[in-house]
Amino acid sequence: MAEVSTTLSRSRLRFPSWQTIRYVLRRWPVAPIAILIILVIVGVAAPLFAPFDPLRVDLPARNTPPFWVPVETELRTVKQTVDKLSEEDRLNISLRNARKIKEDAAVGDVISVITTPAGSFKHLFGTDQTGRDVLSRVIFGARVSLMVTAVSLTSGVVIGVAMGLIAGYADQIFPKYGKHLDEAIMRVVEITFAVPVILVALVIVIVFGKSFIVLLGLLAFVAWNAFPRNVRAEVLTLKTSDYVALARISGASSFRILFVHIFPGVLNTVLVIATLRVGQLILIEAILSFLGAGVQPPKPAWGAMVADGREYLGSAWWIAFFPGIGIFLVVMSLNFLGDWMRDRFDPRLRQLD
Amino acid sequence: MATANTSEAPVLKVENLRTYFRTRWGEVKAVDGVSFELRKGETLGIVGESGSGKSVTVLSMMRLIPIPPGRIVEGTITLDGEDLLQLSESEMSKVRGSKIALIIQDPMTSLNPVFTIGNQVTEAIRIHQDIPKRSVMEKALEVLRKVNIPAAETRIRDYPHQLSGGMRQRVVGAIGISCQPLVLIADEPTTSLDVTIQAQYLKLLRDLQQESGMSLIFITHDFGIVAKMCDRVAVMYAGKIVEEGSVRDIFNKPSHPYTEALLASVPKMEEDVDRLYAIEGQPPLLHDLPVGCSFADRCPYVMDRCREEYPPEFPVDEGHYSACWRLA
Amino acid sequence: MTTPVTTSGNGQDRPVILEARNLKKYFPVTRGIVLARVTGYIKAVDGVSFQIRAGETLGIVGESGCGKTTTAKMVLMLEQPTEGSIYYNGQDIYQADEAGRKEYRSSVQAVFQDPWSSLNPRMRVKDLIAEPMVINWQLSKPEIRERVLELLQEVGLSSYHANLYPHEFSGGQRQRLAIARALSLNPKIIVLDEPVSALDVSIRAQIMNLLKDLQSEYNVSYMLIAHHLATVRYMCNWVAVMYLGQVVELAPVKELFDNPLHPYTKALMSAALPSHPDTEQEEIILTGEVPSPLNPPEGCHFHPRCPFVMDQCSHVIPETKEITPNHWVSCHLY
Repeated sequence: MAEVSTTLSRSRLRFPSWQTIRYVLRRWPVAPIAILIILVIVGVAAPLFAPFDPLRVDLPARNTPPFWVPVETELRTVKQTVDKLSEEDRLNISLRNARKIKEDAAVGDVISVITTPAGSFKHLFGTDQTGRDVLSRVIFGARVSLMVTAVSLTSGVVIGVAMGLIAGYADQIFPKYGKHLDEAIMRVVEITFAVPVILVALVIVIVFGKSFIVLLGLLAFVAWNAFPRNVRAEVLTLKTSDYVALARISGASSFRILFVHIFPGVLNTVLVIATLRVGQLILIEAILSFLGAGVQPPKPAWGAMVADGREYLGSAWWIAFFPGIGIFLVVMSLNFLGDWMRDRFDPRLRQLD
Repeated sequence: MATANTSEAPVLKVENLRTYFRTRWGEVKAVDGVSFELRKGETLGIVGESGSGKSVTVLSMMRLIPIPPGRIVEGTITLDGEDLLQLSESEMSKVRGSKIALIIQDPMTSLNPVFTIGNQVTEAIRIHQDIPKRSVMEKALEVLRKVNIPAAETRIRDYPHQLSGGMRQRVVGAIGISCQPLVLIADEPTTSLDVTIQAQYLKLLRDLQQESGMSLIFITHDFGIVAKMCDRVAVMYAGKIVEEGSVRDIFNKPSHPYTEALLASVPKMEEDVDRLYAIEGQPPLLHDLPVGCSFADRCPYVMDRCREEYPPEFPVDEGHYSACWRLA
Repeated sequence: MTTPVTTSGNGQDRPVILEARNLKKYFPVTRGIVLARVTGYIKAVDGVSFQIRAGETLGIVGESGCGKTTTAKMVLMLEQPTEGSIYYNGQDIYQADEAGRKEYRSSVQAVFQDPWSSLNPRMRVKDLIAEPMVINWQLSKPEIRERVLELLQEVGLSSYHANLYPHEFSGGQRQRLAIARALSLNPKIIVLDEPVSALDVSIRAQIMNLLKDLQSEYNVSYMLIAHHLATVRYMCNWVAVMYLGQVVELAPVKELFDNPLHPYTKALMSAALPSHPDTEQEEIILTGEVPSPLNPPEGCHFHPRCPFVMDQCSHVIPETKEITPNHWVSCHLY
């Protein structure tokens, strides 16, 4: 015993050992948190990080690939004329075009042609079909996504948590109608679960037009309905807990019990659901933007950028790829973080080590 | 109460068992050098508070310690001439249930809610015994009748939630004895039962023991159960056995201050006590044990030596040992 | 059970502070969700009467489902009785005005069994202990703080504990916190619902002694709900034995343990675990289990399990009789 404790105390003074690092990495969601922090900082301070104006068009530099892509060339045989539509002429080049590359080109020569220009450090992630800098657009896109989710999630949390608290606690405040109020709220929540969100969103956009406010409203609607059910369940258990009974014995009013004893108890759950929900919101925002019902061009939004880049996947994959990676990283990090928090906050899952 | 015959070789012999757990505070010595013997037909009580290591001792004997974070560092557990710690996992699972069986504390969670009582009892029988399918059901009925389940023929088709707590605990007991184990371990088997149901259950266990001659180990914090059921007692504190002896020796002549204090701190139904003796302080934290005797901080007789060195076991009487420097 | 209006048999006459008369609590059993109809009643408490005297402890003993917890809840005003009344200093609390109820509420506090669930894990100790005072008294912050520290000291904790959260305490310490909180309003009665059964054996005596010390210091009365008879003997002045919603025997503690009359009381005592291996015990092992309070047996509720059952037991409800002074039993044997 003595031996163990001395080695332990000595190890505290040293640089953390590999085991400690591995232990921390295993126990704490270091990577997801780091990714999210970077994204938030970058998004909030987008103008500081973005090398270009995301809306600046630079046609001569269009379709520049990311920086690491080398120049891509192909050998072509020079012919007098080329039928662009015919399959056999695919590897041939017309004399007129060949002269632009090599002035002394003649029919029958084999010359090398640049099919894709080399990437440059000027545009780290390349440019899109109109020469806008993809990196700058991804950075500003993060900002748009952050704002959209922050606004819609906040309204969703407020509405959803209030509904859950009312449903779970109504019978304490209105002994007569409480049960019915609870029933009514939960039925409404269940109905909203059955709504095909994307479809309805498209219809609403058609009816009310493509506006930012409509998009926020739609996303808030998506956000709120995850909360009432879980909050209500939590309230129902807390309501019967011993410490709530003791508060009642001490003469606490229903409102005091609700706000001092029950509300703080549901916050963990709310935080976990909110985290998991952000990922979904970003995804839905992206899907709506992809379908043209979300953030409107030329404003850079990840979903809209993926939609734009889809046409050029064959020739300029990077236009869709980088915003896609952005969506993937955020949603994945939030899901990992949410799962971790759920385990962490749930005492039943808390383990010895 | 069964009489312990000292001449026979022990059915179960645990020697110097050490089970440690890795936790965020470092290594915790949950069981730290525990040795005891159990003879045929004998009932041993292992008494201790939460964190004393009594349940980990049992789980180590069943080889049910989660590894990691736990590990059995050393020791031998000899059951019927075989060292359980040397067996492979598949050999051990044959021993488990057939030679050594465990009844755990909570009858609500030790039965699977989606299977009928019959399913669960027959499963236990079929795993260990080569009995034709037809007679398995009969055997299950016989076992259920043995634990006094009324109308066993109809009960066998019930699901656990249809039974009361006492009945469920009986079914758990039935599974435990279904293969006539040599050793049956009962880990706080009655804490969730009402007094009258507890009495029924304890009587049942004693009857079963007398009938089959199996050995019983009671893991408990309650000296009442020990007084009623056990032949010998081992008192555990902070991972070690601090006193061991026959039940009368322990009750009449407690030689370790912890045993003495525990006995004095329990109110008695038969007499008026004006004021109970209360042990000061809290049980120590296993990851932060003091040097020397773990009980020193709470001990009224503490000496300098207690804080320096852990006491070895001193004999008090024949078969009665106590780890206290006062006996040196 | 008729009301035993008596003076204490212990020689000292203490005033009755709380009296329950013919308390009943029936829970309706319903079927259907939308148009629910009542198909029966669970008679959790079915006509219970008792008295609690100032500075004394009434123990209520019984097995699960006997109604002791529901009785405690009615005393704590957590449940409204279906019938019957509770008198506090002679006043019916369920007929009292708002002020009277408020006064009652602050005079009756509780300590529950599970010290892990009875303290809000998100409040600091100082706020936990202060909560009843914050609700009921108009005190300044320094006054409350002073009282919290005083209470912590009273239950054997130190002032630095005030800033900690409950999870930083062991079970025994948490129960001390719960006791400090219950004491904060200077209550006249504290309901103790199995206050030590969730604690380690070596801690139980500490808590029981603390409760006894506080009782003699503050002259507070306890209503102790317990199933462990030895604990009851140690803690109580009076004991009521409950079975299926009714008090079957009520007597001063010594009288009850020396001379148990009701067969159920006798069975409980014989089923209790001995304190020494050589203790001689009568073996009355009851058969069967406690019947459902939804459909209690006719006549005496105990008759299907009673070893002394007679013909009339199955159809005549026994009256409660005072056999010897202060010793009340409802059984046809007497």
